[in-house]
Amino acid sequence: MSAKVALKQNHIQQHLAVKRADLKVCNLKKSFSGKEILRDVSFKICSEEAVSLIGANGSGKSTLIRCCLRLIEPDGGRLEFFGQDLMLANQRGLRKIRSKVGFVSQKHNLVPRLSVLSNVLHGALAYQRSPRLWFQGFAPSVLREKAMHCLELVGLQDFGSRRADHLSGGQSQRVAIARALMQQPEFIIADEPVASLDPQAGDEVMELFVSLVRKEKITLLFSSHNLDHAIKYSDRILGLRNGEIEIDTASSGQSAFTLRGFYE
Amino acid sequence: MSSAEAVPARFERPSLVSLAFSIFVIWFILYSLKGAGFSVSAFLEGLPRMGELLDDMFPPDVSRISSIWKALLETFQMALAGTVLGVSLSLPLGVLASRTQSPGKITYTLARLLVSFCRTVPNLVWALFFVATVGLGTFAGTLTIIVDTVGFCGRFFAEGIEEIDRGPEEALKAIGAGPLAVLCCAVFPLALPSFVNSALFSLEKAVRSSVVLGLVGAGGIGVELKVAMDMFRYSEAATIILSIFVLVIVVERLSAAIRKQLL
Repeated sequence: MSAKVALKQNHIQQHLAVKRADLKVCNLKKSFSGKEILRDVSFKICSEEAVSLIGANGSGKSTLIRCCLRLIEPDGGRLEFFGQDLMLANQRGLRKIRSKVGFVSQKHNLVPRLSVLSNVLHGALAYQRSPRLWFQGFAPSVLREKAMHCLELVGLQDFGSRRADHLSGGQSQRVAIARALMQQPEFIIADEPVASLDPQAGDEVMELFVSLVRKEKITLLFSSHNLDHAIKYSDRILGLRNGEIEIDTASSGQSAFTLRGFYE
Repeated sequence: MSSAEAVPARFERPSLVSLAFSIFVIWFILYSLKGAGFSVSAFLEGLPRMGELLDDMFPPDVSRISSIWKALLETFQMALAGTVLGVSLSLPLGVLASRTQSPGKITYTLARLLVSFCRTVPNLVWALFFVATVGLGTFAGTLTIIVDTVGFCGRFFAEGIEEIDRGPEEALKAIGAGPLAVLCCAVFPLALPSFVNSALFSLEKAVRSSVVLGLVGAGGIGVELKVAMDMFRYSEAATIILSIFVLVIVVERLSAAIRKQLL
């Protein structure tokens, strides 16, 4: 390990010691059909930090991200969100912790037959259980206005009544971001948020996404194959290889060229 | 190796077991035709009698058209009410009978068993059961259609739910939405085309079967048809059959239009 990297890691350790850790992952394990996908993965993410997760296809990024929310049950290890043990949480406790964590995925995962406004309103299901939120027509005016505000933030204020399956890829991802903002999360996890978009749309959506997250002081963990995005939009880069964290370094001073070596 | 050697055979040589099985299946089909009393000569002998019957049927007798249409409306009402109630019951049952949404294995197995039982027992058997328990008339027919719809829609709703893209469901679970909200906001809207399709097919099926149900006393136009045939009033029977034909066609066209509009 070079002296420069060691210095950066030391800096990171100091930074972690001072700030509150929103997410702590310790010795996380996951296997599928006897094949180890995650092996003793450990890392922390502090409040308001933006962390990118890089790694080759099949390195376990999506599995790690889903395990962090227990959308996939880990085989072992510890998970703490905001100081609460996620592994010990029952269904109700799990829902409570998840309600503070937004999730944006590569496939956008909007409900195609519903309107854009309904999809954004669903973000409020994290903190409001009312069936009135199921369809925008019945939703309280305050929340409808809030959803429209979230759409305005992503530049889609004129698309509220359009069906979600009539949007382009970039627009769909913007709606997914608006839904995540509607949730008012303290933390957002994004699994390759712009992977399905063309480079220009990907850059635009990523710029918008990260600027909104920074503005709202939301902690962020996102996975990406785009090393420029990882360097530009995160404070720290985690590199996952063969189910293990092999890189944990500050993103400043890194170059896509040196990080590309990680994929070899 | 030459390129000709690399080309796979056009047909694979069947194994001895599959050859024996194929021969058995062909033999059993021929044996079944014999067991079913299938006879070309008997059919040809019956042709003149079919001609005579058709001759008796035409021109159709429309003197009792008002009571026939009343019975026809009753048949449609029976089919519609039975389908709506059956679909309403199938929705929760379909959720419980789907591998992806059922809360547990026991619930899943019980729900599947119930749906299978409703489906596998024939309509006429259900009709006889309900005629014996609640008496003659349309109520017995409606109950039969409810059970039949539960058997049909319960299965297809469950399969429709299993086939949806699970991404939106995951997205809502990830933000902590409750199970009912996930069902209503993600699962049902995604499975809606499949639900609508199954429900409309069910209505068409119910209209056709409610005609037959009348033959065993479960109300509707079937009773009129049975009486006309028993009394050798073939021209009146022709009017009833043509009316049934019109009803079935109208329902099929309507459901096709609704399907086109909604899907």
